[in-house]
Amino acid sequence: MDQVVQQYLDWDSARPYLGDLARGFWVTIQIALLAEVIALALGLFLAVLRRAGWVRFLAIAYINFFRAVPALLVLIIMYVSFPFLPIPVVEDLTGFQIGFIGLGLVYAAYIAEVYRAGIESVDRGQTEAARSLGMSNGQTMRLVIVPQAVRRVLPPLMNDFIALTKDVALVSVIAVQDVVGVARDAQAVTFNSTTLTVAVVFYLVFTLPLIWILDRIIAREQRRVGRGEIVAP
Amino acid sequence: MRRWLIVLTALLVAAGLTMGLAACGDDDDEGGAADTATATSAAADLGLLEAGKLQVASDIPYAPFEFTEPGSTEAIGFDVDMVKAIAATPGIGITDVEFIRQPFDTIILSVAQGRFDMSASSFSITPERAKQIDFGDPYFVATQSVMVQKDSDITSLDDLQGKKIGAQRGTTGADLAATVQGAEVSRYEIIDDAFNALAAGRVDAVINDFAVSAYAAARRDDFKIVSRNPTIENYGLVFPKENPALRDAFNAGLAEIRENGTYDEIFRKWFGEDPPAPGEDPLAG
Repeated sequence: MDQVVQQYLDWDSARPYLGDLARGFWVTIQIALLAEVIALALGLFLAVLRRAGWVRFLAIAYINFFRAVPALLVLIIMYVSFPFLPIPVVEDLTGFQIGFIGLGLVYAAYIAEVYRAGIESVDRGQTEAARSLGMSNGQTMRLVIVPQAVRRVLPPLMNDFIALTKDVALVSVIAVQDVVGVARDAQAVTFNSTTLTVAVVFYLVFTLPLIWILDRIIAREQRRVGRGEIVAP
Repeated sequence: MRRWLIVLTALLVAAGLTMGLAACGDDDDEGGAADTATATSAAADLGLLEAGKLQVASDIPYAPFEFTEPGSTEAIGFDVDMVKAIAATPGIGITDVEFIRQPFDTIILSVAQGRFDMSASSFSITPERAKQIDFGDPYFVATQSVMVQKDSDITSLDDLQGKKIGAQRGTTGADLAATVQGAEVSRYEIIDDAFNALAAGRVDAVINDFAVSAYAAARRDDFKIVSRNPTIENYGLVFPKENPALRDAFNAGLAEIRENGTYDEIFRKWFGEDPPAPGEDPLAG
C-alpha cells in the first residue's frame, strides 16, 4: 500500500510538471473541441444523406466502417501513411491535426446514428404537414425535422462529446503532447506515476461538470414529459 | 428474441469460463514442470519468480540488441544471446529464459515492483535509474547519435536547435534531445516509430543509441548518421534491488563469458567486429 501511495500520490515528483500538464490538457481540450465540430457537421450530413435515395449506401458504408474500426488504428494509420500521399495539405498534416481530424471522422459515424434516432423520432405527421404546406423534401428536412431532432438528441450528443474527450488520450501514441503524453513522458523521467494521477484530476475537473449538466438536462426533460407537456417545441 | 439473447449470453459466459479455466490449468502445468526442474537443478536459490525459469523484460524491437525476425515471435539479438549464455553458466544453470515484451519507459518501474526477474534492454547506466533498480556490471559501451534523412543538411547536435527531434520515450536519447535549445521533441513508444517518423519527415532527426541507429541506417537507404555525442554510456542489466543474489550471479557469469570468449563470439555475431578493448575510445575509427 505504501508503494502505491508513493508511486501515485507523491506530489513533489509531479510539481515540476504541473505547467506542462496544464498545457497538455489545453491541447486535449483543443483537439476535443475541433474534433467535435467536425463530428457534428459531418455526422448531420451523413444522417441526412442516409435518408436520400441511392446515395444513402455511401453514408451507411461510412458509418458502419468507422463504427467497426478502432479509433487508435485510424489515428496510427493516418499518422504513418499521410506524409507519403501526394495530396497537398493532407501530406503536410501534423500529428495534432491528424488527432482532431481522425477523431472527428470516427465520431461523425457515432453522431450520425444519434441524429438518425432523433430524425426518426419526429412524428410522421410533421413531414406530412410540411409537405402539404408546399415545402420541398429538402425544406422539410432543413426547416421542420432537423431542428426538432437536434433538440431531442442533445443528451446523447453530450454523452458522445464526453466519450470523445476521453478518447483524445489516444493521440499520445502519435507523439502529440496531450495531457496523457506529457504525463507519460514525465513518468519515464521521474520513475513516478503521480503525473498520471494529475492527468486523471484534470479529466475529472473537465468531464464531471459535463456529466452533471447532462444529468440535469435529462431530469428536466423527464419532468416535462411526466407533466404531459410536449417534449419538442 | 428474448430466448435468442439468453442463449447468446449463456454461450458467451460458457466460452469465457472455459478459457479462464484453461488458462489456470496451463499455469498449474507450468508450475509443476518448473518444480521438477528445480529439483534436478543444482543452482543456488536465485529468488526467481518461478523456480527454474528466468523472466526477462525487454523492449522489443531494439535491433540488434533485442528484436524478432519477420514471421517469428522469438526474441533474438545481442542482449538475448548474452543473457542466455550467462544464464547457462554453471553458477546459474538456467536454460529456460523467457524474454517478455515491455514498453521501455515502464521497464524500470516494473522490475522495481518485482514483476520480472530482471531486464536486458540496452539500458544505459544512469544515477537516476540506479536509484530505482540495481545495475549489473557494464556490458556494452554506447554513445548517442544523430540520424537524419540522407539529403538532410543537418550535421551535428547543434544544428538541431529549433528543429523537430524524434526519440524513444524514457531513453537517454530522449534526455539528450530535451537539452537541445528550442527543439520540439516527439517521444515514441518504440524506436521504430521514431524511425518511421523520420522517414515520413515528421521529425528532422532521431537521437538514439549509435549501435541501434547504425543497424537501421545500414539496412535502409534513406537514413544517414551524421554525428555521435562524445558522452560515453555503459549498458547494464537491470535487477530488482531486493534480489542482489541474482545480480551477483550475473556479474560472475558475465566475467566468466568475457574470459572464455563467449562474449566476444556473441559480439562478433551481431556487430561483425571484435569488441573494443577496455578503455578504447569507441568514437575512434
